[in-house]
Amino acid sequence: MHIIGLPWDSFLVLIAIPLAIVAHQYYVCWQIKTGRRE
Amino acid sequence: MSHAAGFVVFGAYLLTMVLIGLASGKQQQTTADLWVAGRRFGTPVMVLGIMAAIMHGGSILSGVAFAAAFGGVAILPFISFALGFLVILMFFARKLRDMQAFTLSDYMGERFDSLPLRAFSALVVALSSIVYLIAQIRGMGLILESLLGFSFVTSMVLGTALFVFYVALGGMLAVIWTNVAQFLFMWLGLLILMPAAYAAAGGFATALERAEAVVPGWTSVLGTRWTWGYLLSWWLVWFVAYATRIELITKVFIARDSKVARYALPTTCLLVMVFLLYGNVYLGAAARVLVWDGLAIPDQAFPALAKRLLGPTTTAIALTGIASAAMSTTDSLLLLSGAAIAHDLLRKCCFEPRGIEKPESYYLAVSRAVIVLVGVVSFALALKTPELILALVSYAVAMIGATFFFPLLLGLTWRRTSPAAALASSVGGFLTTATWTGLTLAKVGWAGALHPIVPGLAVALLLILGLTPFTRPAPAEALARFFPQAGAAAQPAHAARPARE
Repeated sequence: MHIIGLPWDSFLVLIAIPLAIVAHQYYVCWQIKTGRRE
Repeated sequence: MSHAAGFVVFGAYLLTMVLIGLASGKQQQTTADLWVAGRRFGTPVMVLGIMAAIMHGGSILSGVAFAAAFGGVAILPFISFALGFLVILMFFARKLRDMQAFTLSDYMGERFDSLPLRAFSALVVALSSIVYLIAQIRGMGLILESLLGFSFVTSMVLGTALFVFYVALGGMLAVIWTNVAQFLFMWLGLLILMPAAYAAAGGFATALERAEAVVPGWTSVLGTRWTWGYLLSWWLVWFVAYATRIELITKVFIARDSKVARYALPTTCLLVMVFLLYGNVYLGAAARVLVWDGLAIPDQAFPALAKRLLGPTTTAIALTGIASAAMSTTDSLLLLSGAAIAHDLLRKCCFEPRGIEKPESYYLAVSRAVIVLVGVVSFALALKTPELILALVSYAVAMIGATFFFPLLLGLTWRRTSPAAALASSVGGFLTTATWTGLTLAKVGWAGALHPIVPGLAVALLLILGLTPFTRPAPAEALARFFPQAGAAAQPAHAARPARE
């Protein structure tokens, strides 16, 4: 299976997992903004 | 390529940089203005400034060549980038920003109340920045040579004179605003290739499929030649490198507050990934399909692609974009090495411990003189660079990582981490990585099996964990700035050291 020209495992390594980590970074920022995290 | 177009486009770029340098120079009253620009920046400026500082000329020139040769997925450790940013966001940024420091060595010296640790870390920052600066000046010389038709030496003189001028005059304020302008130039330089690249190589998926058809494995996780062992050590190197990347981590000092220092990180990380996804993966695939077979050396991949796809004016814009990417990193490195020498080594390690009092105007003048001196020395070394320095460049991030990673991570999260253990970890990590690098460069077989950062980090971790329980913790006064609640139990809050500014 290919997604935007990448095999599925390459898609995971290059796009999906890094994006999930960045999403977590935004989540941490949201926690800071709303006072849930120092 | 017509050099007339190069002169016009680069002339506009040069004028922008000079004007920013002059405008910023008028606002420099103290060393705090020079090193951290009065800590005034909000999230959007931070994002653009950090992005420009960490993307250098090699990010495109070598990135396209590297991707074309080894595969677009294998060479880009996005997982490591994202995890490195996450570590800064979660563990480093708030406490580093709140301590009101100028440099990373300020942190090392004050968290552990240790002059030797401050001096050692300043030396590592200064030397590794200069090594890196030399490589960047050479890269910039090559681009300007191609853009303007000057000789290599004249091109290096022009590029170096320009960034030394605005850094010495305007300090961090000039660096951050030139970085914002350079950010726009570098994106413009890359995006101008897009329509022609699309017409010649197809869209993202098509270009990747064509590269895969030419070189089986190009889109795989391991790329065309790598093993899992090599890939995992590559990921480790870049995780530690991004978590401790000095051009990135020291930017938290200039944020308006500790929240801004953290809000800027996710968007910067996302922009870096988009930039490299297009600038390395897509253009690497296009280079592999369109120009690879006619190249004498891999580093010609991007210039050859630009030459094939663009006209003279648009090629000049693309090359100016790469020159601005190189310059946006060199100015940050120059400021870092200048601060390490003028602020940490001269002021904090020589003058102040001896009770020598100097006015702020004296330190400002010394700091500017040091910046010019570092620029001149780096230029002189770039003229005829010893082979060893060029070989060391690719290992400089590993040496910085092994020096700072655990004293930062444990020093900011574990109150007990002791000064002696942190010093041993820094020195041991650095020396092990440096020694292993030497063995690797000498082609000692068993050393080549591991990247130097692996033994370097292992020694650094063992030393900091092994020595901390048996050595004295930092004084309560020093700890109170980083662990206020625990510090409050040890002493009243008002006893904590006042902010530097």
